[in-house]
Amino acid sequence: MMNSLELSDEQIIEVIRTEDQRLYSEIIKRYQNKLSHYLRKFVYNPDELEDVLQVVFIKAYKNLFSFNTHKKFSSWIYKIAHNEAINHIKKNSANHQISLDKVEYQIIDKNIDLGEDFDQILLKKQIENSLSKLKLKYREPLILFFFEQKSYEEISDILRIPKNTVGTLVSRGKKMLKEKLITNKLYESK
Amino acid sequence: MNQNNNPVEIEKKIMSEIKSGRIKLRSKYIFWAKKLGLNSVLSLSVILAILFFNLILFYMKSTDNLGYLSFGKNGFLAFLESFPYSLVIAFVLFLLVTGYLITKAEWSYKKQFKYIALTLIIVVLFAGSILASTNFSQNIEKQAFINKGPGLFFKPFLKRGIKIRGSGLAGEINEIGEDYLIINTPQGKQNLDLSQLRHKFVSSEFEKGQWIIAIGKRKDDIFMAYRIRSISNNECPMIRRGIHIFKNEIKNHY
Repeated sequence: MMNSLELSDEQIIEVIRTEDQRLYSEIIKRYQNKLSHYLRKFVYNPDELEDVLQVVFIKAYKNLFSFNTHKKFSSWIYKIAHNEAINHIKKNSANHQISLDKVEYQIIDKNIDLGEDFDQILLKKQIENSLSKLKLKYREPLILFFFEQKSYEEISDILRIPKNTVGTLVSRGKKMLKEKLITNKLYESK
Repeated sequence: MNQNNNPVEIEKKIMSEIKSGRIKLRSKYIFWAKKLGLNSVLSLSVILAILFFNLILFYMKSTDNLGYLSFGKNGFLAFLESFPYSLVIAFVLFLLVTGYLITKAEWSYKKQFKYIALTLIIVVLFAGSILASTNFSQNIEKQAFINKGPGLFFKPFLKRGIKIRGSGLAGEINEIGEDYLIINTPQGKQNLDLSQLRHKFVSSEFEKGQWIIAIGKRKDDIFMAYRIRSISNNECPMIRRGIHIFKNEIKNHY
């Protein structure tokens, strides 16, 4: 097996397709944590998450010849993960709550800029609650933009929507999230 | 929550499935075939949308359809009766199919669909109009009516252009009587009764070989005309050609 660490995702895919399928393990290594982190926002049960993740890697492998190596592999595999997440949500309509880690919570806190009025301990719970209730249409680009650090171009490729629309959805999503948080705060203070 | 989901486990599981051959790469030819199929169907549906729009223009230009509107609101019924519904339905259908197939194309999400749809409509209307100014449609008509060549496919759409109508009639005067005219039409000779004309009939207004268009009502084999007018040599060319088909003069005429 060649030194896969030096190769880009796209180069590895080329090798897997033509020479050495064992190199797919490198792709799994590179993307397992990233995709797991992303899918966690849609699939809340750890066992189900593992199943969905497996399906994503298997589907990606089977369809490797449909990937255009001139494009970004990460967007392509995220698109598969996104489709699987949507399928999972359709099958499991039960309302669960997103759980954010400390870094994610800080990203949202910084970007939404709610000021000093909010109790910082309560705020994390409120963000999780409000984000869970946000329509999927807005939640998806927000998650990809803030938590997965994807550019508008990449989000456009993953969600298959125009780049301009991504910008609109992220900005509206942010506004809606802020409104929800302010409404919740007012409601709780009564 | 377990964030890493047994990373080694998942990798092991998937790689063992791959190595054992239970999970295989799908052949690149499947994806090529899919892509080729989608692009071919998309191109075909755009071409058919252009072709049908061209035929709508051709039909309206070369049949009696628009001529009935010259009688004002009285001619509207005959206009509706001779309208090329099947061509319009086919055109809209192919336009919708094209729009749907575009949404399935790899590149389509890059631009907003409303702009893609607008571009598609402009391209189809423009190309259809250009095509209508050539003699392409007339060749299709010829193939359709002599049952030869690919134009035959369009026969069900074009034959409406030379059909007998209940509230309109266009053709060549074959005989002039006191209160009737015998008219040559693609469907044979038609008796045109003038007794119910809403304007005074002067027989000297008409002569044999002249072309007329009339609105009225059909009673069995007789067409009761309410309004009638003569038409110029370049109106209703499809009906003129249709009469030659009836007379079996088709080869000489085209």
